[in-house]
Order: sequence, then C-alpha cells, then structure tokens
Amino acid sequence: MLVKSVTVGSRVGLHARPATVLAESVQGEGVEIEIAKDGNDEFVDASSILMILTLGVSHGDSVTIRSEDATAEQLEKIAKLIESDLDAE
Amino acid sequence: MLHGVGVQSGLSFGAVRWMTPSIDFRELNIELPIHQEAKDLYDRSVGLVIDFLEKLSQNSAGNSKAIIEAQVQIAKDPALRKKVFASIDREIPLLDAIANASEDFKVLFVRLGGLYAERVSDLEDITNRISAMVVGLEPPGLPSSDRPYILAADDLAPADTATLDPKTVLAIVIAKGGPTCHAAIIARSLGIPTVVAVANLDKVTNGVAVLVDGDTGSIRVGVDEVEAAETISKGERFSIESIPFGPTHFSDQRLFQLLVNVGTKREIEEVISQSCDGVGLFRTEFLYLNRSNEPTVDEQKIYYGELFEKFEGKTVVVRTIDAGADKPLPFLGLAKEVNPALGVRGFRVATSRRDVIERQLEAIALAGADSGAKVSVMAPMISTVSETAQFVEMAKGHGIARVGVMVEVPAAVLCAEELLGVCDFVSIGTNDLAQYLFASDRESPQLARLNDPWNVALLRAIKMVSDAGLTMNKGVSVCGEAAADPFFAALLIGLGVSSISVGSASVGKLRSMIARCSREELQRVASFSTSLVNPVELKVFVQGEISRLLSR
Repeated sequence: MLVKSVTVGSRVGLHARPATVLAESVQGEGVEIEIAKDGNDEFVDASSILMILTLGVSHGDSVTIRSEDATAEQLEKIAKLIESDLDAE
Repeated sequence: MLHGVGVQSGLSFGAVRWMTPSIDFRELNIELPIHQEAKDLYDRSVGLVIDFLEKLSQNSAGNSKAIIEAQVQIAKDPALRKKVFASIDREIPLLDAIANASEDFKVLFVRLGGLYAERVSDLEDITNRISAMVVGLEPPGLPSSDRPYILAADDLAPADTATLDPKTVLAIVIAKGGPTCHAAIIARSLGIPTVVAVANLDKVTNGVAVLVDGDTGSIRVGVDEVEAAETISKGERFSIESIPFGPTHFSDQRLFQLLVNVGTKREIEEVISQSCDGVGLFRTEFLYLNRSNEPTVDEQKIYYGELFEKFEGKTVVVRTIDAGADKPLPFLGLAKEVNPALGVRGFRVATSRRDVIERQLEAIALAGADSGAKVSVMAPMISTVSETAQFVEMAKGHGIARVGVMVEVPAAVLCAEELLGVCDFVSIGTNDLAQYLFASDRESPQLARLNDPWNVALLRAIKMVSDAGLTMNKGVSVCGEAAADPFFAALLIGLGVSSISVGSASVGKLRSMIARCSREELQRVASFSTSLVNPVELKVFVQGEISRLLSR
C-alpha cells in the first residue's frame, strides 16, 4: 500500500472546481485511490466528487491519499494535483 | 391580452415554454424493474443525464461551464451509484433508492454548512433528472430548448436561475410575485424583459407565441411576426445604448457616483470593478442562508475579502446581515412570528443576538484592513436615531471608518436629518420602503400595483431623505432595484440623491443616460413630477421628458 500526505493548495479547498478536477483525474487513472482529511481516519473514494465534498477540506488542510493498486507515479501525480491551486486554471 | 406588472423593460416576441413543475415521481406509481434490470435502468438514465449536460456544456463558457462539469461528476458519481445499488440489492424500489441516496448526502452537506450546503440544490437537481429519465418524463426546472423562448412559470426560485441563459430566454412571465420578488430581482440582474403577477397566465400553453412588453406589463397573444417586429422597432425609441465601463459624468462633465449591487457568490466572482465607482450594496445574507451553523470570523473574512480585493481604492458598502423573521436562520434561535416582515429582522436581530453582528463587523474590519478597498458598513431595518447610534458605536468600535444605515422604514424617512446627525450616510432601499409605506406585502401578487415605485408617495419620501442629505451635507444613496430603470434613475437624481447602486447589468444604460443630461435638467423634470398623483401618468411624463433630452 502506497501512502502520501499533502497540503491542499486550492484557495476554496476541495470544493466546486477543485473537487471536480480531482474526481475526474482519479477516474482517469483507472485505479482505486482513497483520501482522508488528517485528524479524521475515515478514508473515502477519491474518484467520487460527493465523497470528496463530504470531507469538508479547506485551503491549507493536510490530507492523506493511499492506494493498493496505483503506481508511485500515479499517486505522485494526484498528490501534485491536490497541492496546486486548481481554481486558478 | 393578459396583464401583469412590468418589472424589467423591453419588448420580446417568441414561443412560451413553461417551467416543468417539481413533482415526486414516486407518486406516479409507475411499474419499474427490480434487481439487475433496475441497475441497468439506473445506468442508462445516468447516461442520458450526462449526454444532456454535456450538450449544455458545449454551449456555455466560464463559470456556468464549470458548474455543469461539476454536475456531470455528480451524475456519474461512483459512491452515489454504490448506495443506489446497495438499496436495489435490499429490494428497495429504484426511485426510493435514488431518493434515499440523495438524502444521505444532503444530510452530510447541510451539516458542513456554508458553501457545501449550496451543493444540496445541485445534488437534488441531478437526482431529480435521473429519476425523471427512469420514468421517461421531462425533468423539473427550466425547459431544455436549443431555440430561444419566453419562460413562463408560477414562480422562480434562486436555484432555478443558475442555468438560466439570457441568450435563450427572451422574456420572463410569472404568474405570482410582485415587483420585488426574487424572479424580478434576477430578471433585472440579467436584463431580460419581465412581467410578474400575470393573471390567467395558465391559459397560455406551451408553444403559443406572445409579445411581452416589460414596460406596460402587457402580454399579447395572437400577434403575428410582422406586427411583432413593427411594435418592437417602434418600442426602440425608448431604448438606451450602454456605456459599460469608465467614470460616470453628466453632460457638463460633472461626476456622478454610480455603484453596483453584489450579493451571490457568482456576482462576487463576475463583477468588474472598472464598470462602476464601487459597490453600493454588498448583500451578505448569502453566506448565512441554507446553513445550520454561523460562519466563523475567518470564513467570513475570506468571503468578504474576495470582493474587497477587486475594489482596491474604491468604495464597498457592506450591509450587515439582513435576515431574521423574514428569512429565518436556524443558528439565530429566533421564535417564529405571525408578521415576519414586521418582526425581528435586519438590525433588530441585535436586540437578542448582538454577538452575531459584532462578529460580522469584526470580520468585515479584518478583511477590509488587508484589502485597500474603502470599506463602509450599513445596517438594514433601522427605525430610530438610537438604533443608528448603537450601530455606529458598534462599527466604529471595530475600527470601521464610514458607517451608515438603510432607510426602509417610514419612521426613518421622517427622522432622516437626525439619523444623518449620528451617522455618515444613508441608503434608501426602495423595495422595503414601498412595502412599509403602502403597508402592502411585497410578495403579494394582488398588491403588486401598490408596490409600484412610480407612486408619488414614495417619490416624496425619497425627496425628504435627499433634502435631509443636502442640509446635513451627507450622502444619500438609493440601492433598491427600482433604480435599474434608467427613467426612474433619472427621476431619483433629479430628486437629489447623491449616488445610485444597481445590478451590474444596468450600470451601462444608466451611465449612458446620465452622460446626456445635466443635473439641473433632471431636477426640472423631477420638480414637475412630484405633483402627478397617477403612477402611469407620472411614468409616461418622465419617459417622454427624458427621451426628449436623450434624443437631442
């Protein structure tokens, strides 16, 4: 199992556009990736915009992503995405 | 010919499309498959919804495209699908399975509050669309049409308008409502000709061509295209071109302060600071509505800061929370009232929950300090000098330099000079002032005519406040929606108001009107008008006089 901790870079948090982009990208990788807000051990499906929204993640929060079947590159790609300001595009 | 009250001027001709009413598909008792077939039907229905949304997204850009893309993600959401399938496995009927899954997420979003609570309507919209496809019916909400149409509805909710496209909606006709209902405010912000409180609108069925006149409030049925085209070209004598950007000045180059009203998140994102001299009314309720807990000072600071940053060096007038009995907020813990419009609302909330307003002022002051914008605050629903003094003391205590109050209650009109003695400016809210002056509910279709702003009693009230401003040498603004009509705005300036704040769709026309008149000319028109007791006569007189000035 690969695990990685990252800080959320989007100013609105993982909401609206950033949540859409994240779910789309995880679906695009075709592997199962889970995400949890730090301090809350409940991991949810990162390909689900609804589950991402339920985490209530704000700008600057740290989150952990993990996967059984993703490669290190795939997990890194998603981590980079979470760290960037997805609203700025 | 049908009649209503015109709330946004302009003429449009086209076929009527009714908004599809919201119904509970489960009550239709349609036989639906179970087990694997139910799952297949769900997937097919989701596919159809996604096709529809993707077609919609091809024709949109920017913010609305992003909204639609998020909706596509919600429709294909794997967690939603998993919940629905788990229910199907437990032999729960398909429509119930969809409704339950939707409800589960709604509960979570409402608990998170704020921005997340806004997602509830997106989720409801999507699951309603999926259910509609399951039973093979048109989904509730705006009609899906690739041809321009005239939107007919019983009423419009704010959520209905997220996808309302001014390019396809030629005009809006509403059976209920009044000049200040939600639909009217939205129509003005989009600049679409609109008539509300239309009696017998239900007699006009889908596909019937009508000619809508947003000035007279008439809806003509059975007009042919040639006649419609002629009427529209004749009507253009009253149309004013738009000057969308730059400073606003009279024909003699003296400046006039033209401001915009901003409220929703979308307006905060879309407002362009070069289009105006600043924000004359920043409605903050949208941050508070639809949530069970109060936004924190930090959350508020970020929300206000987003607007302030755009207006560096310019004025932003923030109106403190305008909710209460009329727009209940669960965290205020207020009792239900028999007459909400006359109850604990606006600044009156401070009598029991002063802490909420203190925290809001703190957040405004913090956000303002970081931004470079000239931030002022004003309180809504002020009736007395002592309320004004209390608010000024609270705001100045947080270091806010300019503090004003709204004039919406007749008592405040009668004491305008004294109010201006203790605060820095006043802003007239024409919607509520008309409601309280004429003692007529602004939401009531039967009383729509009483709330007509072209009523001389309202104009005399505005004149009293303007005169008080001149005596005290302090600013008197009008931020009510009535000012979006350039002819009414001309009258307001003639009556002596020092600034006007309107929806951003209207500033261009107002700037163009002002550029072709002098203040003295408008004063002359206004001085004759306050003796005309018939609103229609008054409107025709002012339109004629101003048109004459514009056509020079």
